[in-house]
Amino acid sequence: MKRAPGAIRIHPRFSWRIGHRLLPPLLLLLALGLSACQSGPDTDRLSFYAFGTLVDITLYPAGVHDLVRIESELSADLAIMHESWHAWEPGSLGRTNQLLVTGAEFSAPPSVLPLIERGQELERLSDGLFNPALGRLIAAWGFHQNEPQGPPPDAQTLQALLVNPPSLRDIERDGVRLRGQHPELQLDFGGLAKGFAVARSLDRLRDLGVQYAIVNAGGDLMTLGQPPGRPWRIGVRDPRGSGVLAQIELSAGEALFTSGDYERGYDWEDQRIHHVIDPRSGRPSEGLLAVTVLHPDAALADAAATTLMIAGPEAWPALAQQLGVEQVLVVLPDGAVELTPAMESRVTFQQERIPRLRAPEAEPPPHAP
Amino acid sequence: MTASAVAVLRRWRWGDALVLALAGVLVASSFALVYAPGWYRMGSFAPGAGPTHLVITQAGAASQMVPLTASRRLQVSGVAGITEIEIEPGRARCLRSPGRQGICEGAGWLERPGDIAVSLPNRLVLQVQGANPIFDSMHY
Repeated sequence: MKRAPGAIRIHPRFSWRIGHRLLPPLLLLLALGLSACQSGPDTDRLSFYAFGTLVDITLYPAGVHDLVRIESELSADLAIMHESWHAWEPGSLGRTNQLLVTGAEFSAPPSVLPLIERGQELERLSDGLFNPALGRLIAAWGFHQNEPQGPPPDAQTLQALLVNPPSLRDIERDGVRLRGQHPELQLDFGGLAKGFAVARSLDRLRDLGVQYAIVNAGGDLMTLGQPPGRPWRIGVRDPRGSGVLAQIELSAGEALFTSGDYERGYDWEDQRIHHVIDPRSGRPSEGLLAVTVLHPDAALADAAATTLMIAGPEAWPALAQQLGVEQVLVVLPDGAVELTPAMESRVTFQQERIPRLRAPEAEPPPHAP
Repeated sequence: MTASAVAVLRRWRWGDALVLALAGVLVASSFALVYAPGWYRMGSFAPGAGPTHLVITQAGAASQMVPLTASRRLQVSGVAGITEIEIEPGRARCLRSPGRQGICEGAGWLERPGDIAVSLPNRLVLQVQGANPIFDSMHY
């Protein structure tokens, strides 16, 4: 039998006349398929305790980073930030609080000034619902200790704390010089500091040559870059259980922050006392179980999540618009989910939920006293 | 059918047909893999696939992978005390852990890949996973 030009002779009745042209693309497809099936994650994970919480770093690709150095540098940075911004332990913020109540002018510690400046802006934008000057009120509820505990403040104490409460407007600022104008000023940046810390940790990772990473501090996170060819895949935990409520795919430079009534708190006389305190009532916020905000600015995402928790089930869309956050998901006490149209396109629910769309509203939200 | 096409078909052997069929299957599989929803969730990522192991992440220590094959109990020491973990085939739970809030125990059985329980007092995260992690990070 005459062999066709280019054919591979394997068996007298087995002539690969077309096969020899198809083999290269076939092998390529096979290789692609096998690479997709490769076992093991394509990322490295690093977990350590810092900033008063569990910090989890995801690095892409796997096997190329100096994990020991990254952990060491980030731990050191976060320890400095934790000490500087701690609301009740000695540090830069503690010294600032001591000086503010004297009414005398002083130079602000460089580490604290950015938080005050940003806090003042956010307090103004939220009409006072975000108020980091209410440290005394937070402390009265038993949250200025590592394991929060009761008893909650009695009615008389609460009433006294709510008469002419301080705000960041009571800090006179001239460049780096500050002067407190309220004797009860006590700063507590619990709703803002973690956003700053996560963003600064990403800056440090970038300085260390990392291109693609996630910094997750106690569940709140932000991305650095986006792995080639795929998004970051984030599981959103159900606030009332162990399951995954939803998946959100993130691209480069996106932050995801949640404020929830389950985070820090204690039970007192069959009542859940949580750490998000409403400056209008002086009591833990009511009506929302959790608020998740997705935004490129981690500090804004952090503060907005807290503010919308305080705003409550009616006013949160208007407050979101006022703060300039478009991607919001809230969980109500009965487990129902509401989200903005911009968030709907980002979320894939892993459970049978029928979320309700809430578009930002034009009417003004209820103002703080 | 033109005369040239008929001539080509007459010269075919069964090996040619086999190669063409294989090529067709591979091309179809590639499209399915790339364009089907959740294409990257292969193997254990496929919907319905249960967890195969528990990942115990504790600050300051390397993550531990514990297979979810047989019933047993584990104890993990942390800064605040001992976290006791119960394992059954295909699932795990935080049985007891330090901390007044009971958040770790309240998570219940971790039965689907990605389910997570956290004990902040013990600086500990428990997460069940399939052969590959579904998520790059968990938001909670």
